[in-house]
Amino acid sequence: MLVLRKIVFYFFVIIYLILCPLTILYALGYLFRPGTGEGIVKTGLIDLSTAPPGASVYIGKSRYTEKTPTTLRSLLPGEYPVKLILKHHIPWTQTVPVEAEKATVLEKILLLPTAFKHEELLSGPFQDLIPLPGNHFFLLVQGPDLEDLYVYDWKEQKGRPLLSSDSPFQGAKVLSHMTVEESPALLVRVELKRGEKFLWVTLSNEETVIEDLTSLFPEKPLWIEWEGRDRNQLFVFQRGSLNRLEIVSKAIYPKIVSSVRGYGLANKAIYVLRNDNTFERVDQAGKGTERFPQNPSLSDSLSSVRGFLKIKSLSSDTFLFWGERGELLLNRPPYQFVRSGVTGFEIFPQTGRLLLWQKNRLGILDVSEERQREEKIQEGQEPLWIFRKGDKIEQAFWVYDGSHILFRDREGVFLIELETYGKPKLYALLRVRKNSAIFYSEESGKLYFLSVEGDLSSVELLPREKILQFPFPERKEGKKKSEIQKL
Amino acid sequence: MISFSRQNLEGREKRLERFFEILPGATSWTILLGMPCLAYWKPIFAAILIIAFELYWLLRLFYMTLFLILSYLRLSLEKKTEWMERVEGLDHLDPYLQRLQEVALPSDFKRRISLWTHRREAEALRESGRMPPPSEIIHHLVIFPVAKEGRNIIEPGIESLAHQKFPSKRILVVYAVEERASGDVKEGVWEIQEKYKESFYDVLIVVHPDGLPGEARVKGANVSYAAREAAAYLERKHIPLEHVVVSCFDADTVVSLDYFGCLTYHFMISPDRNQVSFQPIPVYHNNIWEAPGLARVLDIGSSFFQLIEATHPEKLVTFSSHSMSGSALVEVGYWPVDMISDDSAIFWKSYLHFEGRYRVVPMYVTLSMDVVSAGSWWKTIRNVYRQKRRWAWGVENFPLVMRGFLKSDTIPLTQKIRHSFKLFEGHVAWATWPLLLAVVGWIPALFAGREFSDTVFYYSAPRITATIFHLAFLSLLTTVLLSLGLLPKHNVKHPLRKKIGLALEWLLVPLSATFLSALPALDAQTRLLFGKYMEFWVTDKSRR
Repeated sequence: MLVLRKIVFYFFVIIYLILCPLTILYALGYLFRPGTGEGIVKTGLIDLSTAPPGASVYIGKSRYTEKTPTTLRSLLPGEYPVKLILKHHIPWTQTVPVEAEKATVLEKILLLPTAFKHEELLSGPFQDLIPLPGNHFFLLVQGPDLEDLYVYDWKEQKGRPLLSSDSPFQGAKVLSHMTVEESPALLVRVELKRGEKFLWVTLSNEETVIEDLTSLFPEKPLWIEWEGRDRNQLFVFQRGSLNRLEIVSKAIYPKIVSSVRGYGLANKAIYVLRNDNTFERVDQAGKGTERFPQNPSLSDSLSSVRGFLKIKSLSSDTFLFWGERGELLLNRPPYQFVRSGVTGFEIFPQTGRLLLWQKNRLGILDVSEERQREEKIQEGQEPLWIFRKGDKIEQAFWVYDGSHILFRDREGVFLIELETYGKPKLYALLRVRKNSAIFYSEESGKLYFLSVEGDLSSVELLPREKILQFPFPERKEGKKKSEIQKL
Repeated sequence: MISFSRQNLEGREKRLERFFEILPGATSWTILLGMPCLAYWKPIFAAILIIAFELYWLLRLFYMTLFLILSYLRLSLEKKTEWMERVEGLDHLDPYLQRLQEVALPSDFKRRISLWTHRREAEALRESGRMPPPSEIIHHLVIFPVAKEGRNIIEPGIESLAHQKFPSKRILVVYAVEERASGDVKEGVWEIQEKYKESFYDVLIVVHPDGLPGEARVKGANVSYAAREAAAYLERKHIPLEHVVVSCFDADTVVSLDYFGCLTYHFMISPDRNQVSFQPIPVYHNNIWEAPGLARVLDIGSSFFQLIEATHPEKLVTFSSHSMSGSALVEVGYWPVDMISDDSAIFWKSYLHFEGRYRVVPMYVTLSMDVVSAGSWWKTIRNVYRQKRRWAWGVENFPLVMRGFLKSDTIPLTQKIRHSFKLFEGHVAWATWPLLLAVVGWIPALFAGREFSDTVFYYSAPRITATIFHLAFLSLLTTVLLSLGLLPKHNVKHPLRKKIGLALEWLLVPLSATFLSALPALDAQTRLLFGKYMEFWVTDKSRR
């Protein structure tokens, strides 16, 4: 047994000494090619994931044995024409570069159906759709009055009128409305026979609760803000000061902060920009002032912006300032990065990327701390404009974990694919009713819109139930941004 | 020569003792904490190390599985051996050997191997010139320590002794009872003595007083006290200790019918019989059908480990119930009275005492004990944890052995290196490998930043790991099949369903290996590292 044991032991040692380095070299992407004169070559790989999965993979004319999601290994460095074909879907093609020892990852490829299946949800005709971002409701507008509004729950797929038949607000004409991300409430300014009113409309699964807040608004405010999860407090900007309003008690706390030229709310605090361009954080009572360090570049940029600024919190120490003329500034480099014209923006919190739009173009700015650390961002550096041929871009959304952008340009709805090594692809999806908004839910993967005839419809952009969720954190994107060319 | 104890050390010896106490735990923690840190700072390098480790683990698993199969085959082929026939043959070695050489090897493969091995051993004995004493003057001293086990636990053990093929009249049974044992326990032992006294040479009860100076509350103190009393008894009876084989069992140990025949044979066939320990294969069959799955899987694993160790006798160390020469036991000063791991400590004590000229002979015969079972599931898990921690406390031998090696000029250096490496590596691997495989190996992927996640390695590593684990499954499958073969025949309801259930329990191995093997081992090493020496805790055993 001793002799046998020794023989077996040394045999296994030899096996290990051979297998271990070979395995590690293979893992690193090294391939042994005897007889070609190259010996050991460095290879790369392409990792492909599609939504929906199961697409056939073609490299040039050769069909790969596996379907997506799959990894194409042992590829020599170079460019590979990749084509993905899935039945009833538009083929996806791209020339993909492969580098030695590197993985080329295309993990958010969205295969679009050749013909979208429109699902009619509610027969109209409706005139407009009012999204309530962060909620599972949106409003449908059938006419100018409050009673012409419908609440649609896209999760339950049920609609009901906003007002009950015996509501005292029947006949109220809607003048304007205001919504806040993640708030199930909206503030509506209506006109009744007895005058204008401010109504606080809170939506829920079962009913609509309307409170008359007119007494809290002795005069028309310049701007109103509230935090999405706070149903009791509003912060109103008037005559250069902030007032706090309590809905339940109907109390007004005037001038909790004065000399204000801009403000925003986050995490139960108020972020205030004073007239002298000092930037502070105060509590909801207007006390406990904490001043942010004065930054000359930011001060200079703010000085060049006139009028009121809305402030949005991107993180605990990163804030966005949005001017009346569409200026956009950050409290760190690049500070002012758009001088005018921004009509809207969407933040993608997981990656710290900002999507913004003007009338005719769409841009992306990476404001994540990682990006800040890796690249020296120049002051005044502009965002990356990914689309410049717009007419009147009014809405845009991040789609599929920030790999695509959905936007509405007048009546056209388009999709831009960012996950690309070549030119970003633009897809025209559909046309919607004139002057109506759209709503996209990343949670359901569906786009909600009004058809040309005014019916509420939806199409599935992202087949959620077919996408696998992996336990590991998403790999951080970055490489492809520098290669995105403008459309 | 060192005193095999950590008590009353001073100066350099004390410092060395502490250093070697710290070393295993510090190494284990360095590995377990170092790997995640390395994974954070250098994820590619850490992932490479992990793959290299997993590959090493896989090959080692195959290596161990191969020897497990060989050992299992040896165990199965020796099941039909008539040990007493061989014992009687050895009484007249020359004519017996001649008959062995003349007889044709049987056609049955198992018997062929068995006979061939036996012939070789007999030839080696003759060449050594160190003939054994006649079998009729060989006696066995069997010590059962009792602390809180009831009669239902103890009695099957002595019952199995009474039915041995070896004449039970040459077996002296000693119950080493702790003074602190309850009245019921003592009464049970007394009743057993009454019942079985006539079946054996004698049945003695030795009550070990509490609180003797220099003693910890450990089994070693109890059995040493009893062994001293038994030695005095044997001396009065004029039975020389050179002709006595001492077996130290657990209270629940039940031996197979051939046990003492096999033990006598090995005692006689070993030329250096008075510098040898004898290690059977422990199985846990007393209550295996009733015990909870996790505990069962672990204990079967222990049996397998011993089977594998049996194929490597040059590095074998005594474990649990074992036997040794009576004269050797007395010469080395009995079991340590202040150490929990008396089973392995007695081997090291003897090895150092005889300056490396001491070994363990594996015996391919089984003795059975209880799987830990304590009423409720949670209590059983807790008890299993404590038992494994107590087993892992065998790491307390490491500093003593190392000090002994440093002091010894006669033990060859290669042996010192081999033994110390095995002892050290074995304990560190016990505490770290399951955690590395189950937890730490996945950390580079969690910490992967862009630098790592953009590489081919990031995508290849999980695939390689998956392949390694799939191949490891072959080893698991082998283990499952062998475990089913090792099970005792029993009249149970739905035996096939029971067996399938038992087989599926092996899927619990990752859980049990991590929480009920690695963690207790880490616990034990950490206690030793901080000098928090463990109190002895007697494992709860219960049978339905």
